[in-house]
Amino acid sequence: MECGKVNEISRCGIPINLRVFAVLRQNPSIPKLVRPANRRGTVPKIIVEIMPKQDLLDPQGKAVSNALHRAGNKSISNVRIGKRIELHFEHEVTAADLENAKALAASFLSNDVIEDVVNVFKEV
Amino acid sequence: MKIGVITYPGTLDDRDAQRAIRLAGGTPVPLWHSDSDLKKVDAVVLPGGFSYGDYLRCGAIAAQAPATQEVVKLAAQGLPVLGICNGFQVLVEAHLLPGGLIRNEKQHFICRDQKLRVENNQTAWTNLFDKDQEITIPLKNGEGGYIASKETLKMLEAENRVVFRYLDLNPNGSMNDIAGLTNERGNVLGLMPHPEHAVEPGFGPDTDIAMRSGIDGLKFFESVLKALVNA
Repeated sequence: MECGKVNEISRCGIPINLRVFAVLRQNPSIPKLVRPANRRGTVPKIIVEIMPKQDLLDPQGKAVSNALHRAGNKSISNVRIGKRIELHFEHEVTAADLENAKALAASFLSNDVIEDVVNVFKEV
Repeated sequence: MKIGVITYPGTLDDRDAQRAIRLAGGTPVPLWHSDSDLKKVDAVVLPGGFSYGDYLRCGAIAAQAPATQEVVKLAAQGLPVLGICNGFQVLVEAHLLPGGLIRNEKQHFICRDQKLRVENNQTAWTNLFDKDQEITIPLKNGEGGYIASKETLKMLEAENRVVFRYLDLNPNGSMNDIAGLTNERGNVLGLMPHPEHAVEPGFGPDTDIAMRSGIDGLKFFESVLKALVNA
């Protein structure tokens, strides 16, 4: 019984995905799977943090707060939920990128009638 | 008279709006969000729905669409524009109308026949109503709570720009019971309830006379046709 062949998988006990992976590794004609360099964690980014305005009701936060109280977390007096937006870049973030991100945060990414931009910063 | 109806990804009520225009005696023209060519229409309707899945904020992404940007340009020249529900949210995000719309006060999606009072019958879309006339059209929204700063509210009230107010019950916590408002010039109207769902006997809200016979919404579209003929 050959387990390395993709088309003979029905009689083999090894999970299908593992065997396909084994085929890929053993066959030099198939290029290696390379993870992109800009995967999460290493990519240069700017973070935009937005919160609903203080004096507005935050229904999401209220629902979560109620659930936490039901679970016994009496010391948590309130919960508010905002947004974190990541802007990814192909290159190292420049001062101009940061300025542009601040402008975008104030115009398109938030609405100053209902939200506040809390922070716009370069992630290091 | 040609009245355009813009369809965005996630729009629901574009065909209902087209039908309402047809029943009022106009010619509906379907418009596409990514096309800045508004096909020389005489007025534009931004219909209800959930454009872009309400991502970022309701109406925020649709407000950036090429068709919307063209509407913003032409509205400044007097083009009549009606934003219904999500269309109202788009108008607010495009800064054609002031303020913002947030999640309903009690967090429920509301769907009901809603009584309104016509506060301003001088706009392009309400000129066939009587002042203080009471009308009933369907309301269906999850984020219809109108909010604005104290100064903005004061300005809207002083300039008679609140066009519709909720009667009997405020369904979503809107400030000053505001259901709809207009711009300074009176050519742009945004409201949360849906006039296009009350235009044909048999398919509208119930009235004292008969079930589903309410057609109060038809006057919105007849009003704009009249305004265009007189223009």
